[in-house]
Amino acid sequence: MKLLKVEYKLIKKCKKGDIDAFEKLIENHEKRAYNIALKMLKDPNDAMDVSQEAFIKVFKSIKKFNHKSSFSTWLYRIVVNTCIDFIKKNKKNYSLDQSIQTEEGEIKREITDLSITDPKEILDKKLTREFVQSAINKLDEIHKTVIILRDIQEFSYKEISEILDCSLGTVKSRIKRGRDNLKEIIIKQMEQNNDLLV
Amino acid sequence: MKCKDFKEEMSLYIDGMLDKNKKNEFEKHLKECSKCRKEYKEMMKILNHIKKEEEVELPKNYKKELRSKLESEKKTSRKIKFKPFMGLAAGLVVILMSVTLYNNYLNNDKLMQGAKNEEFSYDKAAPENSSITQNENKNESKKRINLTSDDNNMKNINTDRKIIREAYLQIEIKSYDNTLEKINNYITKANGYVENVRSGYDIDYRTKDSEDKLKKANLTLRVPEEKFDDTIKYLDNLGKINTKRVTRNDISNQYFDTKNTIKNLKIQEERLREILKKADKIEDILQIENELRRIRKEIDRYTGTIKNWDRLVSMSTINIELTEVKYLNNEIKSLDKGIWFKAKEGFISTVNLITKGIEGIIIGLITISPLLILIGSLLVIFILIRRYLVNKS
Ligand SMILES: [Zn+2]
Repeated sequence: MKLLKVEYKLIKKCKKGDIDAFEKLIENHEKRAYNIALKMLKDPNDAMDVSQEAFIKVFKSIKKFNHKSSFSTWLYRIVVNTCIDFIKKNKKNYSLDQSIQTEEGEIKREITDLSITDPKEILDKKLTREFVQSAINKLDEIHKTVIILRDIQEFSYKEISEILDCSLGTVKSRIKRGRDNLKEIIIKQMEQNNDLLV
Repeated sequence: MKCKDFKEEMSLYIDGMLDKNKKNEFEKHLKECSKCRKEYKEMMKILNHIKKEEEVELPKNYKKELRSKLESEKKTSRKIKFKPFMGLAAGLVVILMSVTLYNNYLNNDKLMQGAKNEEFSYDKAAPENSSITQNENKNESKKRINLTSDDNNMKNINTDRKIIREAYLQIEIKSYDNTLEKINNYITKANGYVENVRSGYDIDYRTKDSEDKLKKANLTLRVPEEKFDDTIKYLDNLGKINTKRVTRNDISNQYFDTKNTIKNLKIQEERLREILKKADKIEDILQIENELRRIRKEIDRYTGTIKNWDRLVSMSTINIELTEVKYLNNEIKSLDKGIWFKAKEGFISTVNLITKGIEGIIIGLITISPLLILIGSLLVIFILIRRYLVNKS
């Protein structure tokens, strides 16, 4: 409760254009916002630019913040929306085929070391962080967003429904489908890599 | 529970979103069905990999860069904020300037006329001109009747009118010194004053040969507005009136426009002062201070104009040209006006009044039409900018 009071006071100051108060207000959200952007956009420069753009939007529109939702979910909503807008604007660069990414290069190298034919066993034994990351990148925006929010940032279902401005039911089905799709992509990738080996 | 339902509810189970009954059912199927158990294990493996991910630290320059972005954002938004207001003020200033310029032009015209008249009487106060001046005299007296009724009317309609009243009189008098003293006494009693006296000897050819040197003088009198009519009447009886011109210049529109402009400028000044208090960048402070200085200058200029107008409205101006003559020839006044003549005069004055009223309305409408158009378009621009800003954020 005390924390909320502090936040309330800071927001009041921000509404008058106080940058110092704004910096304090977002102090605990900057890293998380940057990480969400980084997961969504992959490129660290883009992540920095877009997350900062989101903070500027927050600063500009804080006068309109009405305390109906919590400040943090309102803030992350702006972060997520700014990222999605950026992806839509630069769709060409975010096509499904990202073969030049170094991460995938690593994946290929790792996989070449394997001599196992059953893809499910590959999943069992040699599922790497990078592999999962590249699979997340291949999800469509909606599912990528929920996976980032739920499984990476560990927001609650209620928080996600506030961030995405949708019902709890929508959040439930999106998370389920997001995970299912992710698994599907991973298995497909495994099989493809296996085919390359064979 | 069927395998299909298991798949459906796996995600919720993982996140602890199932109620107790469904959770038990789910766990029961998890134990019983090896196919579903495998699915579940695979999913948990993937998710555990995701959760293992560590958060990336913020780039070193992140906060610094954000700070400078925020500051420039604050600056631009502030600029946008008072731009429409500035536009409105600028528009008003332009209108006001054109109105005052126009008015000055009119006044200059009048002054020129006055000057011409002065020259005329100075150089050619010849006997053959007397008929013309007598005619003028008649017309002028008629006009005076119109004017006074008009004045009364105006006072009834609107007591807030700002009217500058001026008179120009050419008077022939017998005794210069005596008359001057009389005028002085009268004006002092009326709480007025003689602003300017220019006197000398007439170089009229009539008096050139005579030994008597006749005097001539130009006086500028200032009398309180309410004493104006009485003073004119008094002056009428001092001698023979050759020329008389009474003008009333209604400056209400310009006057109240100027007052409004001052008011708006003062509001703007106050706003800028508030912004200045919050400003912390030297560049900003300098810019605001410059703007403040400019606004102050403008306020002072307009306040000066208002003061000058106040002075002119409250103290009417009477310019007199006194000419000393040997023989006063005063008999031309037609004292005996027939009933018909009076009726005709009344009729004409009423018609004049009506036409004057209509004229006033038309002039008023035409005068303010550019203002209305300008205010309208500024309003549209303002709304567009606001909509744009709202859409943007
Ligand atoms: Zn099953």
